[in-house]
Amino acid sequence: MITIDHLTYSYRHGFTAISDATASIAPGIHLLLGENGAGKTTLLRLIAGLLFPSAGSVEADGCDMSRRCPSTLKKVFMLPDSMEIPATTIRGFAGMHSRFYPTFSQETFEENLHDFRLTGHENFNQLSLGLRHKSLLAYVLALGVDVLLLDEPANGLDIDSKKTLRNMLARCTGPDQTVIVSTHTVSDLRELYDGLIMLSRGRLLLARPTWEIAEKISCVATPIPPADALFTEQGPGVFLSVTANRGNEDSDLNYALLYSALMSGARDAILNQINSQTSES
Amino acid sequence: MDTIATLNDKFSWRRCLSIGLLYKKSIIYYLSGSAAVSLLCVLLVELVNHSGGNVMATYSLTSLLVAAAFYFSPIMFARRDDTIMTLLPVKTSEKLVFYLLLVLVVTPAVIESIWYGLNLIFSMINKDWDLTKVVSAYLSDSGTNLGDENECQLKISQVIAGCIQAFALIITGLYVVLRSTLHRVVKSMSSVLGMIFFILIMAGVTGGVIAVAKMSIDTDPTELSAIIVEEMMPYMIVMWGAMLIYGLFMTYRIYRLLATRQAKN
Repeated sequence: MITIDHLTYSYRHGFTAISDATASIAPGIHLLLGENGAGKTTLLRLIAGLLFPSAGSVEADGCDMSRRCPSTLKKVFMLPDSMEIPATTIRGFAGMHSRFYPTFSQETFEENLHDFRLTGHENFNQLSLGLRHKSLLAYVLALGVDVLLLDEPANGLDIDSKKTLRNMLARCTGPDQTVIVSTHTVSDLRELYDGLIMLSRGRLLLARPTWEIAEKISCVATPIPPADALFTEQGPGVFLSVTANRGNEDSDLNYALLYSALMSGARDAILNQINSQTSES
Repeated sequence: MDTIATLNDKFSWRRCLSIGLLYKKSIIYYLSGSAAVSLLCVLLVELVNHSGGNVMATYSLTSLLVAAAFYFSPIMFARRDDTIMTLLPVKTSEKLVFYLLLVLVVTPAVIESIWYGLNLIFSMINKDWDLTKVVSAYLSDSGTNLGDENECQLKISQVIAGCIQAFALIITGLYVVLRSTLHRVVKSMSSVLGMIFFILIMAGVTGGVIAVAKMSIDTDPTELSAIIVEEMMPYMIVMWGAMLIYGLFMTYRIYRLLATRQAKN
């Protein structure tokens, strides 16, 4: 469980990247959405303990991340969008780095490399961006840490590799693990998400399990926009709308649509609907 | 595959030394290079001595190269990813001890053991060979009459000064290489060179002022060197003290840097 309490982070020049964010993030795979400059990477770095909050706190399983104790750090890892490894090959890096993480699984690592069609002996610096990313993903998903933070993990991956990544995430994520995926391409890992975290201009708009959101709102595609739609946008031949879920049945969430809705003037109405109490049937 | 068994947050030597795995390539390259420099320098001095050449000039040049290997050792840590290093499950004190161990103990040990080890081997092969005696003989031949007491004082002070100076210079390079995000090698080496120039200027100004002061009084020119050394000693002690304090302060700064580093990219 990640607990964020009135978290604020401001850069030296005065820009506030995260402003008074409070949330509890349960184990599972969570999608982190936000526009460019919303503070997604900053939030991930704060959770990882790479940055110190200007105010508030971040805890992982009750441990304050800013203290950077080894016993806490071995449970957390963040894969940024680019990383330089101090080894020629990913296997070499795994050999020197994994001994700090007692939950690392060599078997899982081998399986991940095989799924990505890599041997692990490729010269890392001579690989393309996509292959480097696959090598790193194969390794970090085998670390088995309690909190794994992925910043644009599908960046540079081809279509098949994205499918492989989706399956790999599902296979490698245990019931007690928390994985937060920051991405702009929501469709790649759509079926995986247990939770949605939404940031906009440094403000945390939403941090909820997807089942809770799906209980309250529906994402529908209709030939004409529903009269009671909270938000509508025109798609190819249909109108995509966000409506209140009055049927109390879970609906499939369209993350891209929900993102657009929360970026629009309908934000408050949608958030009120999501945060409303479930009415007694 | 072995994992580090120490799961608690107490200081662990095993975990401390394991940090070296992440710098393995750089460390091997640098120590190998330093050892090679030290070896070549000793061989060069021996070769020049054997062929009757100018040993002192060769010694001075090779000393510079060996000193460079000493002082630039922090560049071993230039190639790193700050995200990986900050996330690494090790204590700040373990990181500090590791860095200090490498640059203040291991690297000097490698360089000095080759330098003095080979000198010992050559002196065993050639009974008349001793680099220290060669240097002393040069000083006597050049008319630098320091007097027995001052010569002894100078030798002791050279050892102490050398250690303190090396500590201050290496710590400066270490701080800069750990703090910088770009151009770490250039910045670290530049900071060391900057410190060297500062020390030289301070020593030169001090010696120059004393020399001018003494020359203005009726002083026997043949005794001027000894008088300068004697007069400079208190100032040198103050300077060494200041360098020691500076080195300790920079060590503390490095600790704070490691503890509070924010890896923004």
